[in-house]
Amino acid sequence: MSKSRSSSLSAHAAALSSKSTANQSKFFKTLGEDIWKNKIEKINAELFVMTYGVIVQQLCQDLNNDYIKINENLFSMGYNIGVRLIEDFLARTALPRCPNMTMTSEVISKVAFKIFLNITPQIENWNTNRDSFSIILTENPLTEFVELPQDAMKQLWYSNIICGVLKGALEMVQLDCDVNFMTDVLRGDLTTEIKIKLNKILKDEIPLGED
Amino acid sequence: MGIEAILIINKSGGLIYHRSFTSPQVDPSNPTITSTTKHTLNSNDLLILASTLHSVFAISSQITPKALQLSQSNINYTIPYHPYVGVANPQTTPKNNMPTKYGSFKGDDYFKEPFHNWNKSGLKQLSTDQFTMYIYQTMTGLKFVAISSSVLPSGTGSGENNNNAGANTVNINGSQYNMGSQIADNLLRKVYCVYSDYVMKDPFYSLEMPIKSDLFDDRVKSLIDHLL
Amino acid sequence: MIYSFWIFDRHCNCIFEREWTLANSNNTNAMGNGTINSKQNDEVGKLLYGMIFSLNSVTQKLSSSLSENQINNNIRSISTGKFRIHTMQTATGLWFILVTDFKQQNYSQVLQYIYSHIYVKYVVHNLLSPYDFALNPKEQRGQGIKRINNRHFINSLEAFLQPMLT
Repeated sequence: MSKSRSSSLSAHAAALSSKSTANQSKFFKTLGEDIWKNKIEKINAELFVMTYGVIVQQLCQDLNNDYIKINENLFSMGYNIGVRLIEDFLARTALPRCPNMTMTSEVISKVAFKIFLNITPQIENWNTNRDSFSIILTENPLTEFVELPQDAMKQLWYSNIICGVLKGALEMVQLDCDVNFMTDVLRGDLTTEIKIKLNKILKDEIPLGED
Repeated sequence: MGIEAILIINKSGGLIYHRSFTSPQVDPSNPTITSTTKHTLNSNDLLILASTLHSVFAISSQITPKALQLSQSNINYTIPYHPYVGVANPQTTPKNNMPTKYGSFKGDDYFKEPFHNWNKSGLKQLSTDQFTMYIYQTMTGLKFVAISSSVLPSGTGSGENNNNAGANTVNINGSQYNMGSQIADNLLRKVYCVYSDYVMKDPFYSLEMPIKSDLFDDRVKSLIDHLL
Repeated sequence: MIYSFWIFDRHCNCIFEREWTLANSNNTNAMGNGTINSKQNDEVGKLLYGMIFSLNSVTQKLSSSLSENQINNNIRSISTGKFRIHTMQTATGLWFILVTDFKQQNYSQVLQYIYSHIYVKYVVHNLLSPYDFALNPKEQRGQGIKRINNRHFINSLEAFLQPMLT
């Protein structure tokens, strides 16, 4: 018992402090999978997809198909979810603060998306400063059976709630980011791409005692 | 280790939850007068306590001694996992009474691995003559405070094996914290897990406001009840 | 490993301060490093005292309300993630404070010895050394600058704490 405890401790400590990104990447992957498989309750995906679909459809009705407003509404709903979801994420994983956006992107794609949506998006399109990247969703559980009507195709970002969730969660860990959709398969583009750009680190809000 | 109270302090230093777990005591020499709980504080005093802790927390990071600032510190910030702190121990509970999940956390315990300590230079532990106070801060700035009635011994405690749960200095892979502080961190992280479930997922709860959830109260009470 | 040692009096002034700055294991004579009563630690001293004073007054309120058992609830130690502060308050309002690492849980006997055998012997019993370090009666709290400069006191303090430095 003590042997396995010390070996898991050393693996954990090694991964957390390791300079090698390959090691960290592997660690995040296994962490995400382990939590998804064993530690959380799952529900029927159809119920979830239909619930989300009905929200979007109800918004269309209530706001008279004003797609700009609908996008904003979805974003603020996501924001409200994000500021709360981050506590669940941190309580569940207790990961240390990410020192740079590279590690942040790894944690988002390999751990966060895996735990909450069971997908692992790709990270691409880094800018020269390494503070802006794109998340490419190869599969999007929200939109599997969805086809947008003609007038919505030009303006509606169907999964905009995800952008809101990301923005809210990052803001609670003192990273002020711009998160928006660039392209969407539902709109006829080739990929679904979300762009995250770091504006600034909210230094005065970092909890004291963290250096 | 007997926990006497749990407090939760939000990002701005306001008290959003407090619960005391001691029962009223009768003064033995004067049985007609019942004293209220041992650490009795009216709500105003508790608010002052919370804001004092919050501000002192900030100051403590500025008092780091020069020797620490200059030298390479190799302090290990990982907290080891202590099994089944605050939850049913599978070795002592019969199989059909074992819960299969705690809120949204499946399995027989909230988490099972050692975890990173976010609180590097802020206040972690305060020992006085009558109680010990432990503080666990999350990455979002929330502070969980546990006041325990265990007291550190007054003799020199280096390397001695005392029966007092708060006394042992355990050196696990360089981690310098004593056992009491590790158990308190394990327990407070579980309170954080319960908070992320019953408070964060309640749509009628406004952020940073006092917590008024009965479900949350019950869960915290059961965590404390299961503690030894 | 002891990082520093402070004494504060009842007027909230720092009357003695000793800091050991280098954790040099090769240097067996560690008395050479560090500072005594240096001005640059004034700020740190004020913060340290303020922190201990406010925590103490808050915990006093939390103490037992049973009137028969008036056990004073004094702070013994404060830990952060990086260092530990041990305190002792005497009935005369003096604070003896030691800032150390995590090796030892409890320094109250050390502090008690420093008070009873070093401070009392060389400062209190010395009739030519002031026992109250305020310069004049009108001095405000926290404004005093007089320090203990007694050679015997400093030397015996160093000799006593020397084996505990590393």
